[in-house]
Amino acid sequence: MDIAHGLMIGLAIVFTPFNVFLVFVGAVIGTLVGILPGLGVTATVAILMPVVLGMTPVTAMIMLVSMFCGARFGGAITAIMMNLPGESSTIVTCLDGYQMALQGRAGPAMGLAAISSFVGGQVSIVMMMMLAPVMAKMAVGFGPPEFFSLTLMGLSLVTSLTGKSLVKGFLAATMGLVLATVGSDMFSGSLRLTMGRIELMDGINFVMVAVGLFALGEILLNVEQGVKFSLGKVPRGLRNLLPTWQDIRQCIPTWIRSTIIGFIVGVLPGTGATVASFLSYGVAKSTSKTPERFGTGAVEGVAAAESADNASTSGALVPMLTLGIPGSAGTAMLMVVLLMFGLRPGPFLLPEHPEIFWGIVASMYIANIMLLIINLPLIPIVVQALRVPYNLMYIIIIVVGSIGVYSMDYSIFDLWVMGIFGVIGYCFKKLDYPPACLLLALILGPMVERAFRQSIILSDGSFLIFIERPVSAVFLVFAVLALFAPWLQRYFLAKARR
Amino acid sequence: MMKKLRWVNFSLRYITVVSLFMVGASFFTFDALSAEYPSRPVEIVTHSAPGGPNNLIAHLIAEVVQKEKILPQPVFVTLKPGSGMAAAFSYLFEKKGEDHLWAVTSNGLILGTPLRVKLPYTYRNFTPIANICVDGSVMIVSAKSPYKTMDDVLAAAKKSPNKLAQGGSSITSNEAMMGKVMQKIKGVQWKFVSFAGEMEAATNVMGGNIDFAFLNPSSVLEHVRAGNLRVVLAASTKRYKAFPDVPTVQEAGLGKPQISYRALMGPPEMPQHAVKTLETAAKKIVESAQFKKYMDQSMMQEEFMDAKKLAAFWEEDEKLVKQQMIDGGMLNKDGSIKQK
Repeated sequence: MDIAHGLMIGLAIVFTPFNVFLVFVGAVIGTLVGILPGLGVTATVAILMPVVLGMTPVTAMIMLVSMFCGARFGGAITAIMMNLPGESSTIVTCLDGYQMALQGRAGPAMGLAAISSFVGGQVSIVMMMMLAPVMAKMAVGFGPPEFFSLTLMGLSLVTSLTGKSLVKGFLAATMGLVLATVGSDMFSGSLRLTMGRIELMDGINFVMVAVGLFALGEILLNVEQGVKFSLGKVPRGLRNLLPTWQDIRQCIPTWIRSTIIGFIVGVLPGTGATVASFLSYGVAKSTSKTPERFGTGAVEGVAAAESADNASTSGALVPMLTLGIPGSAGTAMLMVVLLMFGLRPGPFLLPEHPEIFWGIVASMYIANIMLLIINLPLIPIVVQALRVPYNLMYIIIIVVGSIGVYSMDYSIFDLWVMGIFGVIGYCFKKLDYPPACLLLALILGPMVERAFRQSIILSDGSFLIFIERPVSAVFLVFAVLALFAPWLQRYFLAKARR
Repeated sequence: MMKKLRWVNFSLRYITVVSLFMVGASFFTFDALSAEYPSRPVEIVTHSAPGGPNNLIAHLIAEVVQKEKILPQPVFVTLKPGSGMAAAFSYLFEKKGEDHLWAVTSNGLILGTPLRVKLPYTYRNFTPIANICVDGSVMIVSAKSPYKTMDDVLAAAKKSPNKLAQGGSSITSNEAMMGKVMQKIKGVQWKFVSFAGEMEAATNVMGGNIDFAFLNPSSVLEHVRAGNLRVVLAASTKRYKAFPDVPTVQEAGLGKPQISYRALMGPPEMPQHAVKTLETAAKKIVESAQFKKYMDQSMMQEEFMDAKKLAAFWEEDEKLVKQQMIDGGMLNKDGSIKQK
């Protein structure tokens, strides 16, 4: 079946009043889910499961996929307005988004986030339609050594994420790696660094670390500096609340790169949106002519994070639909829904149940458009929240953050961890350590370790396995390049200016 | 002054809205006053990655409970995948005395892991509720691999010791133990690589990174049809109807198959009234038509044991698992944990 025909089928399925309504409901629920940290799409699908199973498979998929798209956008709102990463993938959005908000550009930041999500989403769906079979093969060929090299490349982005001092960046990353080892070791099952606490047996979840480091750290610092009347300025006039043409023009190259990176990373099982957003931010910064603007409110920073994030959503659907191998926890839940309906995602889903595949594609299209239509007019209203006096705003931030963290495990212990990381975040800010480096290492640490140990078992202890396999070798070269990116960039920029 | 109050009002309202949303997420003690049990939605924890067999069973239970109105309150599923099973079970272990929480588990993990690793708990700490089903697995190799039968695999393992690699979810899982016993019986050696889940191991079999893995037979079906995978051994008591030519472990002379007994259990010191109610609920679930249909589809078998029987079964089975671990060289001769 050719693509145009398939897409027509999909649109025909989705364009019934009820289904369009479900796309809307899904998008709204998703936005709410995105706003609360901790409550991720995985948990939400699990909660909604009984409702969803009462529908037909296609309508269920339509609603859930729309929810996915909504969650991606919702996370950006709290990231920009409160420095509170609502979804793990929006950690990167905080870096420049919040800085833009402080400069009175919260509106343009959210506008850009919406448009970037839209672009990343739409373009990656096209890639999904055209490349699904090819990409699925790629996912299968991706073994532990390749996975190691890719995640190592992600880890070497520390040099790009760090601020002025490289040493501080590495120190923060090392802390992150140490924290990543806490919990039970997946190979032997033995416990590491848990200090006898049961709560630490399943490791330190990065959501509480992220909320502590970013949101609480910021609050503590602001409180120390004296209560300001409000967080940021809210400029008058619609023109100042939406991104300018110049912003958009500036972002176009970033969008193209980030969408491709996001999609490819999304396809690879086990990586997902968080890795995609970090990678594309690193690449955007290293290829920028003015890398020093990143971290101080660069529009490309927000664009890179959000477009990669959304592109990875469609990417992750590819191995799930074509092979029955979920690319991320979120898509795994979609697979559960399909399995509960008695459908088997795998090589025969597309030929035997084309309505599912094309229904998903079409509903993602419509959900993305709908989200853009819902969200752009909402921005001027949402931005007004910045007028809230800061002494009330920070209570709201703490409440939202705490509920989010508590909702993961319903454990008070997690709130203590969040608090401790709040203090650490405050010290980081004071001493100018980059919290993003710690988070990057905490998220990637377990992945790197796992892939490394799997590879070493396979190769009987030989490191050559990482070089012998071509894909892995290429990623390793990229890893080295990423490690030295800031210097290379300085050299080339200096040369170009001369 | 008025202005300030308005803001307080606003923030209070905000908090209320957020809390209401949380109620939707269903973990607020809503009507603690009512004596009826369960008085709020019951949480069910699974340790397998989304889409794994235990996870699917949890969702099935949630659905059957709702459709057949087995409990007055809904059941919702929480996922705690990771670290073999530690993430889910330590979560359960933390919630001592909680009565609105249960977990899906399988015998290999809950009995085997505490034998091999120093953990603050063993299966004795948890409250058995009921066993609901049993299922075996099949051993898969890539369709591109030179191995057509189990004998080919064993011959290759004999020829080059420690070259072949088996993949699986964790080193204490049923499939890992089965591999160990087979190696002992045939006097061969191969490696074991842990992956995040069974499906990830299967991907790596397809990609040729590892040589074989054990997988739920129903997850394999589509890939056998598509010519990605080949089934060489059935780890079950009988041959599978879908793979009539594939011999069972016993037929191949490779010891006994490790069969997963999937059971429901509660946190430590779960109140007796809760155990009773959930035990009855489990019986009704197992007897429902939808559960039976799912069992057929997934090539599993329903098998109900009440709390008492399950406790006795675990006690018996633990001895067996221990012996197998000693035989497989995973434990010292006296059953103590091996020091590295």
